[in-house]
Amino acid sequence: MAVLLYLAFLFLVAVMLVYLVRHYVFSLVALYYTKGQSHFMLHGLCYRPTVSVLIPARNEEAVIGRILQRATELTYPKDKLEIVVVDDASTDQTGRIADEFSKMYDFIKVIHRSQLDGGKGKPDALNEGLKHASSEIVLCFDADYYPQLDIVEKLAAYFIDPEVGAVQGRVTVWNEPATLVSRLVALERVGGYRVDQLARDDLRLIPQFGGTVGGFRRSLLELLGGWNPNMLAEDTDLTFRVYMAGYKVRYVNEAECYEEAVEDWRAYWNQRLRWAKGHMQCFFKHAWSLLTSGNLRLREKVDGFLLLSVYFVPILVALSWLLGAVIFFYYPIDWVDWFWALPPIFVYSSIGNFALFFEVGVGAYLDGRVRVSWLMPLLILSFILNVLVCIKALFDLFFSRIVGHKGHIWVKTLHNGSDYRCF
Amino acid sequence: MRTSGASSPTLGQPTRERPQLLHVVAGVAIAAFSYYFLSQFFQAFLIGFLPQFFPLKLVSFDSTLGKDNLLLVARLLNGSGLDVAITWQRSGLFSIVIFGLLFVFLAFPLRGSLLLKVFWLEVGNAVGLMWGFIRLSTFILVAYNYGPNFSTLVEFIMGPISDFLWIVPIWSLGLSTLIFVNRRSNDRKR
Repeated sequence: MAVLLYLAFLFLVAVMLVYLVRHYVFSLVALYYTKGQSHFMLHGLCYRPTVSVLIPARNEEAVIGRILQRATELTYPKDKLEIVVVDDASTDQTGRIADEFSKMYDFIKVIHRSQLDGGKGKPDALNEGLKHASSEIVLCFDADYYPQLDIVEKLAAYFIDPEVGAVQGRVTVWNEPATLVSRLVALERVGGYRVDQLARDDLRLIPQFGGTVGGFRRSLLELLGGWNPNMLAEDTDLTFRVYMAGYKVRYVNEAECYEEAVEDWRAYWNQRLRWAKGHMQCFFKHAWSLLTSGNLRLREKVDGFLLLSVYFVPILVALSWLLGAVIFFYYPIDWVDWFWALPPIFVYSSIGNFALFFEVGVGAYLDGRVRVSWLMPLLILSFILNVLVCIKALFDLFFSRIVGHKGHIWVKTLHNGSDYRCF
Repeated sequence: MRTSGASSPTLGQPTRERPQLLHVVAGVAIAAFSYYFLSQFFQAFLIGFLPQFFPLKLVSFDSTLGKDNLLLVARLLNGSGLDVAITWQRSGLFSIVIFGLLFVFLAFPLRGSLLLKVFWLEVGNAVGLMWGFIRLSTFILVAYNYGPNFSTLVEFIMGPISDFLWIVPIWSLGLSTLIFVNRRSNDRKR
């Protein structure tokens, strides 16, 4: 029994060490690595494919006008740009506001979905939008996002490389000063995008399509059958399908878009629960095919596996803590003390990309932001909540599997459209 | 709201910098010297320091040399003795080493003055020393009030996580000072 406990504890410690080293390397890469993949800004001047921007919107009256106004200001040539708003059975003024923009601007198209057809979640709405999109490149933005003026040029430029199947831009929190929760989300974004995604792109690993502020080559998207409506993390699912089809995803740090982050713990809980369940679904769906895929190199497989497992890590950290305590009191052995210091390092990390606090600090350094790093000690709050979120997500998945219920309810994040000045 | 892309500090192609390897070498040397110095004297210092400043006068202390670590014997109210080995973890030296590793290998290679980095490294060491005193005192206080078994349990469960209660804030404060100084020097250049 004791030997089994020791082995289990050592295994958990080894897993944590792997993540610790991984994120330390990512931090160094984001700071110093100069041999990353090339950027395609210059090609953007001569390569201008047609682009459809999908904006799924369900009861987004507070924010839809803002993003559509912004869409009219985008610098991409309007004869090559098409905005497709999917009014997903909204019961508020979303459809009417979008229609008004559509009347004024030819390149804005609105698809209205009835109560019968719509309201089945974002992936379903995106698939509907895809049917009406006619361009070579399909980008998607959430309704609460606020893109840079030249973001389409920056994202589309990367598709000049025929191996690129998808791109992902950088997400920055717009309403950061609103509440403590939005400030913590901002920290997660800094570590997750400025360091984690960038390093994975530089090292030719698995940069991830994050569901918004990014897009796909339309032909590839159709080949893959679009978004999977049964997946709660349809973005992660599609990311892995893209890689396994032999294409790659590029992270475009210079393409920045602002998001309205959740502002209270309840909304944070609901959003993270959906992400955790979705990610775990993806793990069960893709882990084996990822490891056996002929289209990926070994390092991509390793990174992909670590990425797919990321929502299990908070559970493993809690488990290692529990196991260490049991060993210490019931089967004491000298070396436990030395590994005991490892789990707390992970307690100060963000979830989603599992950026440790020093990685978030490096992101803040690279962005030249002073005060944001003062909040890093508070990452412990979101971590503790995320341990509970991940445990619940795992239980929910097992329970739904036992009772044979495969569909999951898409819990939409509410946006209030507040206007904030960024930092 | 920022509307323009080009002038934003977070935008543009990701910039890279050269690691300050000489700073890292200096940092390793200073950190190693600090830990050597502390490991020689800190445990003995705690044993000498604690009985004089410990808030609970009812506790008396004897100190004898343990096999591997210094041993502090706290005499409890009922007359029984509580053996407290001053281990690396318990004295705070362990957390000082972790802070040093994180600071030397992540903050020292960054742009910025070496003096400032050394200053924050030593601030971390000083806070770590104080933390060692607080941690050891708390352990004895809990043992005094609730018994040695409960105290050991609390210390084992909460000890490492509470070490990071000072490591993370001091690390991030040091880093934010570096960011601030770098930003100011960039602004001056402009």
